[in-house]
Amino acid sequence: MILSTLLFSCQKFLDDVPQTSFTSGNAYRSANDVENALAGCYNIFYYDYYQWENVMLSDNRSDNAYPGGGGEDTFVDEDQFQVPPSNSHNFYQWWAQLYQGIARCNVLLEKINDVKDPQIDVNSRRQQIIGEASFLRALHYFNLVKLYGGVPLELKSNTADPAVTRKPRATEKQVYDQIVADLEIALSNLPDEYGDVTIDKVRATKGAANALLAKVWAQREDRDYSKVLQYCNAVISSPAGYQLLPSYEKLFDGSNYYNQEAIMIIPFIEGNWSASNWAVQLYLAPEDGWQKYCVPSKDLVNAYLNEGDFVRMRANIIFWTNIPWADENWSPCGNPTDSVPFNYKQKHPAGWASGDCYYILRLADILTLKAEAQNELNDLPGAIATLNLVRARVGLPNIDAANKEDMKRKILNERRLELAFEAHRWDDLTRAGVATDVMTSLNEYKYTCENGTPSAPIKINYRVDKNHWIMPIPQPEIDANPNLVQNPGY
Amino acid sequence: MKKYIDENVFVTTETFRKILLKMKFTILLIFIAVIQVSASVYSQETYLNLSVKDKSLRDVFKLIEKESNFRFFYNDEFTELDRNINIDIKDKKIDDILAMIFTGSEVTYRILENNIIVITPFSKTLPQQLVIQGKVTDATSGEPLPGVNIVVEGTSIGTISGENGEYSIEVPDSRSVLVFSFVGMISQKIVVGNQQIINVSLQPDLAQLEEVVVVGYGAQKKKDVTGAVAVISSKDMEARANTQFGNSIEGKAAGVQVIRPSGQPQAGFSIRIRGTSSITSASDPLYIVDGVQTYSINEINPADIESISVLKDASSAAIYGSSGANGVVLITTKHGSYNQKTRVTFNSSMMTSQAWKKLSVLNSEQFKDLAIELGLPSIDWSRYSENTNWQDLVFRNAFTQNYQLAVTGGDNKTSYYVSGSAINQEGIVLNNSVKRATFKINFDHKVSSFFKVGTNLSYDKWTDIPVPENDRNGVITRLLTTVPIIGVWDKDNPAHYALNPFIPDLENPVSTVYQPEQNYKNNRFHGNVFAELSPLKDLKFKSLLGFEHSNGIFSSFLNPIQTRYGRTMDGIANEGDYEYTYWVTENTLDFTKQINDHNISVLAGFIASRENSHSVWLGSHGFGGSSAIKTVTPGTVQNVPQVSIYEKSHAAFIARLNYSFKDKYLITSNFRADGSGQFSPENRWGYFPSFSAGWRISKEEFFQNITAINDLKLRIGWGLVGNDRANPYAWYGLVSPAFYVIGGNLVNASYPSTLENSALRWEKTGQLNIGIDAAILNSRISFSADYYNKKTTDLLLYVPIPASVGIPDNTALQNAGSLQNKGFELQFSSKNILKEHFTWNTDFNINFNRSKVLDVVGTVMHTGPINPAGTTYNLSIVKAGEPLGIFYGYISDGVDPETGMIMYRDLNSDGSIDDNDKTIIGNANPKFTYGLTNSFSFKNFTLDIFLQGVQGNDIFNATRILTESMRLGMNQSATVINRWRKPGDKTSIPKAIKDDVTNSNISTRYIEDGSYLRVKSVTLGYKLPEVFVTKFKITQFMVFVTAENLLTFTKYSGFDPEVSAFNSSNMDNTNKNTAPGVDYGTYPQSRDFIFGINVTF
Repeated sequence: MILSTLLFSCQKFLDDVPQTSFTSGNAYRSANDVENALAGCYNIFYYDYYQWENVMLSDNRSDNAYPGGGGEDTFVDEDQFQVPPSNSHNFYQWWAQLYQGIARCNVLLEKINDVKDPQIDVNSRRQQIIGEASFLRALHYFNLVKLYGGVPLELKSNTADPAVTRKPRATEKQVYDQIVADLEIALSNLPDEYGDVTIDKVRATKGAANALLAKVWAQREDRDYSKVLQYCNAVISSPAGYQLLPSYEKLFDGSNYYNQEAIMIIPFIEGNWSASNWAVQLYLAPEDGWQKYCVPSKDLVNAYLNEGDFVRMRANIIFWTNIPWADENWSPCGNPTDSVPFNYKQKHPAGWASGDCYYILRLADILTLKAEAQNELNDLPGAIATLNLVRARVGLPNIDAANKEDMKRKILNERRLELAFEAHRWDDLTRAGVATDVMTSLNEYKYTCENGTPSAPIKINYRVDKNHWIMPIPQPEIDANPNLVQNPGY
Repeated sequence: MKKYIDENVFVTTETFRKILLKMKFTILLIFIAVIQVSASVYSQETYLNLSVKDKSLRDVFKLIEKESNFRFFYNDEFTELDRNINIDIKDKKIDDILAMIFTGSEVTYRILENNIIVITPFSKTLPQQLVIQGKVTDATSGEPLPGVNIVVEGTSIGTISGENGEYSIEVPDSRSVLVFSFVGMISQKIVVGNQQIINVSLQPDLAQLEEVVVVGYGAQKKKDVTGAVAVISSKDMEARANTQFGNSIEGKAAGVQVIRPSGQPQAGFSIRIRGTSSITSASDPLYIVDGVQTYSINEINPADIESISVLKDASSAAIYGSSGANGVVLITTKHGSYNQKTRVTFNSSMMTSQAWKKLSVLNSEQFKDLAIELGLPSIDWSRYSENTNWQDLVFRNAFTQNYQLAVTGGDNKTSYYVSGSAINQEGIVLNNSVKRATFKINFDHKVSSFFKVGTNLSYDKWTDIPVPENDRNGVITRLLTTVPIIGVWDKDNPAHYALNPFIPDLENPVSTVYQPEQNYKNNRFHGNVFAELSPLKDLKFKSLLGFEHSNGIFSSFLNPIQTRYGRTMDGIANEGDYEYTYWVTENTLDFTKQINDHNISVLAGFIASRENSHSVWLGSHGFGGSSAIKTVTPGTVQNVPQVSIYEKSHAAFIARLNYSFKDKYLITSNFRADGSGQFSPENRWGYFPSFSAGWRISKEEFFQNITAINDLKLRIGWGLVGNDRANPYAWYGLVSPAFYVIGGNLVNASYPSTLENSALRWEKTGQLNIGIDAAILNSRISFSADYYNKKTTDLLLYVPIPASVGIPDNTALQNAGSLQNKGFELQFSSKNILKEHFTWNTDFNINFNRSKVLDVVGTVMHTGPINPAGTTYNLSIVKAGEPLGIFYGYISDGVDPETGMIMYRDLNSDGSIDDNDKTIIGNANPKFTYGLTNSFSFKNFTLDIFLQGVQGNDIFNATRILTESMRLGMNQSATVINRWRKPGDKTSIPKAIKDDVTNSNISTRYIEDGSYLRVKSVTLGYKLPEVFVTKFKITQFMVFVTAENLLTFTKYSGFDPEVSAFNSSNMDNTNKNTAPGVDYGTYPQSRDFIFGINVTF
């Protein structure tokens, strides 16, 4: 008797309950809990992948930029297509963070069905939340499939049981089908607007779902340009009233992110340590002495110069002198009078606490994509007209194109100039099928310094073939999941 | 206790009386056993005052009994006791008083070890029996030995030797065997035969079998111990003047490895008992100070320690169930004793410390040569004309002061020990220091004959200034990699620290030492209060409440002007505050009974404890260029304050049975049921049994003729112990708070950060121990040898799970995998020379441990991350079938004389060097570790020489990845002077190529033999002669000189072979356990010279 009382009170005594975390048992009860969990799904946008690695993976890997950063092997490897599968930190991180984003959505999508709080059904909020989480899951899978090809389809994220977690890779098509399925749910559940511009541009909307569907149908192997056109048009004619911002410059001046062109952005607040953009300091602010990353390439600078596109060049690139380091491409001997360019897309480093935002989706991307679809669907005049809308904004003359192929090249170039440093370039090159050609024919040089004078140019050898359009599956992931098969060529 | 016993106790043959007597003797023996701890010192340290006139001896005895703990046994019919005496004495020991009383008397006396004084008449001759006479002497000194107990074996016939060592005893017949015994001496047995005079000289009992060993929830005589317990006494520690607990234990006990992660005085120690028995759970032993667990062993003042018991095997540690898996270290602090004259001890020492080795790096000219060869950007060399030797600038002659004052004493009801100490220790790197003040009081009081209360309490205050290390940007790596061409301050802007012109974000090491300004402060209370109740003489109830309470504050401030990073961030301030509390309540019931030859003792108890931690972390930057206020407050960008609170609760039921028969057969069994709040309600109880048995072969009949072996005991034991030391709230699926911006404002967010695992349960370690203890050649030589085999199953493992599950860190805590450690250890002790003025003792221990990972759920774990070049690489691997702590990488076949590039071995012969060519390239586990102590004493001099070493281990010298890479504009090791320069050059150092990392791959190039033999400590002591000392009313005055790390024999090329980059306290357990033996700019051990005095009043 005494013993059993003692045992019982022991059991109670031993109930240690977390005080500075929620638990899976108490974090998803009320409508408010679910809103927090949904904000947690968005919060993955503050992680390395969405803060800057996607820009590095696209613009550094392509012809837009050099790695910079003082020759750190991670980015040199990425730039020169020699990523070892075993590189366990940076390269594994993208894979892991995108799946963390997916897990947050998976958990929410599962838990939301059990929420009894009537508040959650006011104004169909439950449906909207399902739409937002489905959209985000689709976005993460889209980025994964572009980076790695077919990946394991994890739609639960609720166990460590090896029998469940060691999923084999799905095919690329299966992944895309899942993305489309999620986006269709998003499309039917999401509103066009939430009634406040600072929310409309931050949460997923019908416009965002349409825009992403357009991009997905353009990117997948079994692409369908009529669907691309359909979804682009849905964005363009959206009740949300998306319009090109008349001034390209203002898009990136740091104070107009909640604008009519934006479909979805990652919002930051300057000086707020839990919601600021630290990545800007990695591109700008040379006075801190750290060599900066994602250095604009000579090829990109020439692309702007050839087009006479000074508006967009000025908005995206800035040249400075008196740089406290030597740049192997632009200033090999560290001469103070050498001009070195910087990625200027975001302009206010603010000591690692920038308030500059990122566009995940904006109308110019969708307009140029529409032109691409029109061209692919053999509507050359339509494509030219659409593309000229984007050119007109930056004061460039209307273009003409001899044929579909010519137009295709021009659209590709237009997108490069319009969307530089917004993490689109690599996908554009692979979608157009020209990634290998572009990279192998790229004439980029680096230099060393010999007794105060730059050495003879050393051609940078981009060892790329189609296998290297996608990344290796990170080796630690294969160690943890022996059912994964490495991509060919790695 | 009964006072009157029959005169015939020692002479009668009457059966009835014999039985009666045996029972009385039994009671006596139990009593002896119980109070053994402090008895022998009592008679030597108790001073009495006595003043009587014309009182009978009987009355005098009563008076003494009233005034002291001494009790008299005598036959009431002795007429001698009616003799009246006069006596008037002050401050005399009991020996002196009794000698005075009984001079010329018909009776003699003997003081037993338990403060019982037995009065017996000198022999009476009984005609029908043989009378044996003789003299007992001390074999070492040749002096007569009074008070020796002499009994006829198998009977209760006995007597005690007189003051001149003489005795007389009547024995039944010539077959009788006389047993001579005396405390601290080896008993001797002699067959009477036809001898009438038997003179005996007794040897000192060097094996100290009667020594009491502190074990879990109690104490045991050394001879009765059946598990593997190592004991380190204060005597062992005195030979090494030290400031840290870790020094006290280092190299003194076989199988106890002290790992020093760093030479920083605040770095502390990490201890592994019989290898590492966990992968991701904590592997440090459980530390129990005066019955209360603690994590802060660095704060203990070693001078307060009376003894340390290390419970190595599971059968000893099982009573601690939870966390006993890594062994248990029981620390007992010094106590006073009853009726002890007040004694004051003062110790003081001064120490100077230096770096014992400096490494050669390139000088300015050599560096310039390399810079040009690398094609680094041109600089105006005339502005960079310094030739700075950073090691000379940053290493210093450090100075340390240490003071301790202790007072101990007691009256007949109360005893106490009070001490205070202060230490101010400098590290050998500029600015690095520790200050520690401790205060301790141990007190106990007998409320009545059956009720005792007491407390052990310590308070300490700790302040330190750390310097960063074990990192690419730590001070030690910067000593080697900072270019010699700059000075400390920038020539153009003397408010700025000078920077490397090639890599401007690389700060110089002086800047690293002083910026940020860092400071750590801690206050800690630790102790207990207890009450002991003995309602019956065999029964003892003890209730103890233990607690620990500590508060710490860490603060740092990076000046907004002096460093480049400080300027970028415009100053950074951080502050971390924490509070830790722990309490435990223990209630134990102890029952001891001897029935004839059977000795039984039973312990049962209930224990509950809870620890609570609360920490706050604040940070800010943006100080507007001002460093006037160095706290977080003025920063314009404030971090979100991080608050972390956790609680861990434990409850346990314990039981123990000790049984021995005739002191020959010993059995101990423990059981503990342990509940942990770390696990879900269904799985929180773990059950931990243990069994051990001992056989004292030397007590057997057949062994009696083997005189060369004095003691021989076989031990065998098996037990199961547990470990629940994972992150707090281990079984819960935690959902962490976060933020996002919606509507232009921050909103709350949450995300799953761990997976729930309600099946999580105790990690268990089963261990078999087989041991032998022996003492030979009159116990001049004694040794213990143990074989152990321990297997840890249900490892609390952060199992690598596919990142596709989406849980941060890609791990889930599970019970998975198993691990084995088996080994052999030997402890050897020899009294080589035992002369009156010269003694020489040798202690030696050696341990062979082999670990093996049996299973890690079919996967491998890559651990030990370093980031030498912007990318993280793991040096170590955890793989089934291999030991824990192995290095993984390429095999380097040296430098290709044609190309100057490192040739990596193409293991799979596929023509390319890639991940498939990586293999196991080294093993950080020593083949064996050993310690050797030689102690000499010559007249008033003592000399202690302590050697310690490890053999057959590899070190991964990751520092060399930085100092021999020749890829960036940083300084390099002088070895690169021999670099490859042109085809045909044969050298081990490859070509210098800017930005090349291929020559710096993780490979055998950086694996070095880590074996070393170190003259750890040499202490020369001198005790001032008594004549001098008594003149100043001082009991003892000693001066000593100690040299630490005097000599090191090693082939290791780095600063110091004692390295373990991942063992610093801020590293996670997985890397601590799985990636030992890595040098990554580790702060080296210093060479110290200590001068000290030790005075007792």
